[in-house]
Amino acid sequence: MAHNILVVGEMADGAPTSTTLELLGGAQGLAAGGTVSVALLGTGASAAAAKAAGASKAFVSDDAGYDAVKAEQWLAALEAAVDQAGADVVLIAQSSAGRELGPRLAARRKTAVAMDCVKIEDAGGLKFTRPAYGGNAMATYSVATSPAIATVRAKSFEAATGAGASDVVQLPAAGASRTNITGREKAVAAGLQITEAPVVVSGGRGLGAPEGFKAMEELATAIGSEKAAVGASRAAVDLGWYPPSQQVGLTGKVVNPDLYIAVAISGASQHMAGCSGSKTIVAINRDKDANIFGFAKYGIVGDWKAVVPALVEEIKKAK
Amino acid sequence: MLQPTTVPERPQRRVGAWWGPAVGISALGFYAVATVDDTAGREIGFNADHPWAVYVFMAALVGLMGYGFVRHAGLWMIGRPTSGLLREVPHRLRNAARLGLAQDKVRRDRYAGIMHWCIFSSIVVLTIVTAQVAIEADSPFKFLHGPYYLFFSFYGDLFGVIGLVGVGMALYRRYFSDFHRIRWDERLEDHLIIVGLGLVLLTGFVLESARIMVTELHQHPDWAKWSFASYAIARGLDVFDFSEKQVLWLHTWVWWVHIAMAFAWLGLIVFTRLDHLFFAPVNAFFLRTDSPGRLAKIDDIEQQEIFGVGYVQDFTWKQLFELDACVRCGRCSEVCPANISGQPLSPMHLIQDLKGHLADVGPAIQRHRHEAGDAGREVSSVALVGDVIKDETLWACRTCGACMQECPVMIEHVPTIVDMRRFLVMNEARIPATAQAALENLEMRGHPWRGTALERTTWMEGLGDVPIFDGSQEYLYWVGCSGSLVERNLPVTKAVFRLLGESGASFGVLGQEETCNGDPARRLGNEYLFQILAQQLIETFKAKNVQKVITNCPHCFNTFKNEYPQFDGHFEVLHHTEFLAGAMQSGKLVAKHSVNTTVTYHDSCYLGRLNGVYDAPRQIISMVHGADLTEMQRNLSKGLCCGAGGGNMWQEEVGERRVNHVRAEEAVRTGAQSVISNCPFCIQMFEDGVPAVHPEEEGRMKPFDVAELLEQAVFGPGTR
Amino acid sequence: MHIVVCAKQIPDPETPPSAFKIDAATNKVVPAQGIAPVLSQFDAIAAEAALRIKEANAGSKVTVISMGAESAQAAIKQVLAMGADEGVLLNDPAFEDGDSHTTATVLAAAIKKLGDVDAVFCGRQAADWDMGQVGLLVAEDLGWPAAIIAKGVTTGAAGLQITRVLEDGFESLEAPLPAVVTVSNEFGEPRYPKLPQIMAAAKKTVTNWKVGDLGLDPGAVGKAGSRLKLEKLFIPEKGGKVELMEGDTPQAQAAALVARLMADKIL
Repeated sequence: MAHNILVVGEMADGAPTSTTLELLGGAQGLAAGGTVSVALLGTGASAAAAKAAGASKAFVSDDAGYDAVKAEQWLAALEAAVDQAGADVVLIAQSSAGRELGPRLAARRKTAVAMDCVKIEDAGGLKFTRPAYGGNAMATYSVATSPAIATVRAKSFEAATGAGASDVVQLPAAGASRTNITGREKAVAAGLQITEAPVVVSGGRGLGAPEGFKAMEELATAIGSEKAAVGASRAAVDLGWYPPSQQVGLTGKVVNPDLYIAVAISGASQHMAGCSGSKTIVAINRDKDANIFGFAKYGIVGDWKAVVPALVEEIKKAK
Repeated sequence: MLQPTTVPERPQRRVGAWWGPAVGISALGFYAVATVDDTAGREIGFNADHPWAVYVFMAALVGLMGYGFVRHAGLWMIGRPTSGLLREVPHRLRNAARLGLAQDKVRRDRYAGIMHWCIFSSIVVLTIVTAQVAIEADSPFKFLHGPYYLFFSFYGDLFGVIGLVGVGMALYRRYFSDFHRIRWDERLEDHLIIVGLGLVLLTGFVLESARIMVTELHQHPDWAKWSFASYAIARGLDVFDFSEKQVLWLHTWVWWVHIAMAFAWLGLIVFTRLDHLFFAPVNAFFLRTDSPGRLAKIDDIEQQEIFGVGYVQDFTWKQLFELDACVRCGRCSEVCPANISGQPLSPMHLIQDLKGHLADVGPAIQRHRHEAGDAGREVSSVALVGDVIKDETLWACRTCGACMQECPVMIEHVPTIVDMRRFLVMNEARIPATAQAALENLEMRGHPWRGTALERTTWMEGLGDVPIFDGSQEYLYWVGCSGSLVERNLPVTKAVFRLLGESGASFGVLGQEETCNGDPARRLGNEYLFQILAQQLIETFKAKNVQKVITNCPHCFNTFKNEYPQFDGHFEVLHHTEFLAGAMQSGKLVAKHSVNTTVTYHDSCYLGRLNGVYDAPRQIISMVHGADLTEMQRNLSKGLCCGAGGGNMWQEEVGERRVNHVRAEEAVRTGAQSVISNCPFCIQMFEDGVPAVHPEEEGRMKPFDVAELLEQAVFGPGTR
Repeated sequence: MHIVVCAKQIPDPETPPSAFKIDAATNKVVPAQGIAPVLSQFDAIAAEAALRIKEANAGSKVTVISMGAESAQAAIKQVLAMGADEGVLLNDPAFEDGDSHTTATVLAAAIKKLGDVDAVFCGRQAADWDMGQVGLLVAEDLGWPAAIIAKGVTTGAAGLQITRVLEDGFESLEAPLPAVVTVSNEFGEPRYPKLPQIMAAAKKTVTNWKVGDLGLDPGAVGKAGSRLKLEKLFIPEKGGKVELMEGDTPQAQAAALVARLMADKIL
């Protein structure tokens, strides 16, 4: 069945974010003859529209009032875009903004949103699949009302490529918001973000002490500081061994790297919810029965204190 | 077929050995009676111008002591009433005699034991000597003549010398040795007491020598020889050829000095730690007659206005009384695992801080009670828990009981500490985050192991049919939370299960129906949660007709055995080592295979010190052919805690070192290949501690449970 | 200030994976034997946030509302033991098997019925379905402003001062009252209840409102009113069998791993 799909885009550095391009890629696959359009709001939106591969139409407003994402200000414009696009499906990234836009837009349109989807497929109507119960289960939903709205986890689709939107429709400027943003603070260590790094080396409580993360950093450096970042389990973060911005798991970051190396992490479902989308998981753990080995492709049973330095040596040798 | 070897005999304490000298002295007495002429004797009150002065001093002393007692008693009475101190009086009298008079605990430090016996016996005997003099002088009873007089002279001198030997040993330890614990809280009174006693004894000898010089040395040298020390001094002084007048002058002055100093020294009892002279034996009488592993039940907990002890008046009067018994000897702190590891707890300082606080606020509380009639909790702005005793001090306690084991005046530190923890947890909800998580987990999930991925039945995988207890079996095998939910402890559970099966025992397990029996809640101070968990489990046990329980874990063992009777839960409880040792002795379990390994054995506090089970595990080890046991320096009742007790399994340690690193070091030092224990917590602590103190993997010691060792010996190595 | 805390009782998220089972016929989680349902941890944190505001503002009141089975009384009591003043249980067969929208409809109706509410605090998400939208849907229903995933919330001149967690940092914002806030675990641990309060909570009666008490149409709530239809709930296949690196020494194991990763072109 054909679907008219509206992707709610987000921008970074004057271009659609990688997740926006992934949503557009997914939309192309699902549209089945319907239209794919994108909504881009904020400074540089018109220019970014040209880079929104996969979208035939773009609804834009360059109003700087949209730059700080306040969901209330976006809603009127998004509703207009839904109407003008004739959208029966709206895809939004599972981001700080998306977490708020999805439910609110659903409420305004008297419909429903499936949050944090990892798979959307057309099987006699669109089916939205998302993890639940801390990653212990997967739940597949259909939406009885229109438009069907979904927020989608990063790296769930292949990014769209090619030319951007040729048909650009202007949306009105931002409205008022009852909440007022008074400050922002970056809290992420410089360098590669764990959500973007192709390789993530994560340490858990089993490291035994904060010093264990030095070894994690050495391993990441050996792999290549341009592609490896260091993460931590919630237990390790709660103990204050590593900053919260690097927490991987249900309430931390969800990462889907090519390679995820879990060191001294038992693999509780809360943690796995944040990394089970990784293409290859390597587990290093003293306990051969640890849950993490159930998810890993490769494993080493042993004390990380001996294994990690050996791994660093071998990687250096191989280069 | 290997023959079971017997356990090497542990040296038995021979209580009577100390009283051997007494027998010898008595024999001498008989000798004197049989051989010496009965004209011997002396003038009582010789050369004393004002012998009545003694009675003036005496009256002053009695008055002073009365004043001191009233002052102390007033402070004790601030405490809550407590019951049961007059139950089991014969047992308590035995304790007072054994621990108070015979000073069993003092002798746990050999040097101090000898020193203290010398001083103690000297004071007692010389007091009796003096009393006899008074009776002879001022009563119609006359007996200091003839052979008894000579014998009297002899033992008076003997115990004077013994007293001086004791004083000498004390002086050496305090001033000339590298001995620390007695200096952890050294005060002026400590010098006064020992130097004063030395001077009283010395002047006593001078006095006696002067009298002998005048009345016996030349007239009755055969009498004088019985006062052997004074006789020697008199002979020595005699070479100077003093005139009789000079000697009498000396005698007069020394008499006054001696009497004044003796009474002044006795007066120190009222103001210094010398009061332990009375308080220690009385506290021995008050000492609990049940297991030190049992914590007191809060009766009618829902009706309490305050939970645990948050103010000094919430202690029982017995707990306040025993503060006065403390002599600051430092033995408790010397053996305290927290203190040894540089963590913020020293039981001695805790007791002294409580004592100081009682002295600070006690009088005001007494006045307030007199005037206002209520508990007077608002009297002081200084908080007992938080200001006087810091939270981290209370949390550092392992409840291992080493302090109580060593305390020569029978202070019970652990219940006092747990009482304050109860206040912290139930009244104030001030708990270290990780301990709080464990308690919440107990409430929500019935076990303390937050985040475990295991189920209570996981260990059964691969063991075939595991019988579920249904009331028809003789024993309930109680696996416990650690035995089923902590990866490392599963092999122990499996080993015990296989060994029980091999022994032919009739047993079953509860499987999913097991819940925590409440031990961690009680040790962490949440008595309310403990009571709920205990009552639920007792109901389950009764419903299932449980009579006999074999536990994996010494903590479960202690709770079932010592604490469930408080809630009318009476079961026969065995730790697995007790059952297995019995099965081996009766030949039901045979260690067929040789296990060539060197081992050391770690006594868990809850099996060993708190419940006295030292032999069963050692018997098992000795019956395993090829297992060569080397004891650690601290073993048996002096064993050091692994660090996990008292809910510290679920706490982050604060301090210089971790207790388990200290203990692991002691184990590694034996050079053994394995450290064998009997407790899931101990094993976990060694699993963490051994690699920390022995970083190279090569040849690193491995921790095992006794049952794991025995499993290899019974079924052969690597058969599971 | 009157704050409502929305609390949900959920199957224990720490149920061991081996005990987590789904009934394929009903698409429901089979309650694991011996594992009782618990208060969603994020809701306990929301309660902590509300109680701290109560303590800082004399005369404040905290009411805890839970929609759920009779057993959800336990979750309400838990929040009462932490120090909340009143509890309301929304228990009606008509509420069952709904979606986030119907849940929000019921909660909003209860909040309207309470009348004098200044703020609603929810956990950032319930730790069972992990949707994270009920708070916002309640705000939309009530027409109130909202801030989600807060790590800090206090009262201020403008109403509420909120610090919320973003992907790459934090954002401070002000919201006028009445408002809805969802609270995240970054806020801190919920308090441990004091025993006197546990006992007081045990004596408190929890108000029970049914669909009729809230003036709601039974067809607009529960399964009947749902817009999101659960088609299938299932346990995902775990990744393929792990290949453990052989080798007597860590060096040999590490070398084997590097060889595999090179062959897979991952390194």
